[in-house]
Amino acid sequence: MAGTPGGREGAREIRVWDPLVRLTHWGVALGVLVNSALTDPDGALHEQVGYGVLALVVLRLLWCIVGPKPARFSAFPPSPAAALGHLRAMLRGERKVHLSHNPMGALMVYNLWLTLLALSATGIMMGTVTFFGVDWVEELHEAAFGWLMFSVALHVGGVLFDQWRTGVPLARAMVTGRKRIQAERLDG
Amino acid sequence: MKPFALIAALALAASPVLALDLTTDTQLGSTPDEIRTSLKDLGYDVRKIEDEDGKIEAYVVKDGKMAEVYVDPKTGKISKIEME
Repeated sequence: MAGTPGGREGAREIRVWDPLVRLTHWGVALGVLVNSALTDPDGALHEQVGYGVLALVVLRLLWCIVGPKPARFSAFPPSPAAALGHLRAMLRGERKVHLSHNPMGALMVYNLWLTLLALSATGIMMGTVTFFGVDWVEELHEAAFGWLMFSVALHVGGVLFDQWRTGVPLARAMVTGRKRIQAERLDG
Repeated sequence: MKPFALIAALALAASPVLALDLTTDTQLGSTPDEIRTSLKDLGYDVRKIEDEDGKIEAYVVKDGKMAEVYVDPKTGKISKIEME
């Protein structure tokens, strides 16, 4: 491995994200971008893109049960205590890296999924006879969207920060599926 | 004067598929209150009325059909109907 950029000798490439994880990740990102910036919120296309995003989230959630190990719920259980421990380790300057989502990243993942589900549910409700034109449903849809935008900003910020902190190119890993990790920093 | 109303009623009864008996140019009123009253009199469930780019937009439901009705406050007439 001599001559790799930055002289990363002892760095290992480890497969973590399978194609379905990557496809659903970027598919959802694209759908959110299209529906937040390009489609008419009252139009049929907005609805169709919304259903597409919901299908990708549901597919990803099923993959959390039957998919490969790093994609499963068991690889990144939602744990505020673990997230707090992760934060403390970070403040102590430890640079251990995680193979699946790290504990704080995991909380963000669940937050994003729940927000997308709330956005889908309220969006679908707005098109039903029962909730058509009912203000609180529309307000909830807009609130969920605002929270999603805030979360996405935090998510991107967190990824950039962790890339800088641990030296693992995370965004690249979501494209290639492989994390490039210094051997001595491996911590499951 | 009644024959027209009778013919209209028969036409409506004969075509139950056409649940929305509104067309552009239907006169509804130039204020949200007038529009709400007109739509209610026509048998619509008015869910919400709000300003939308200078038009008054009403969310209505009738016979399980949903629509957004846009009224031009200057003329008091419907300018656009969007079925859901």
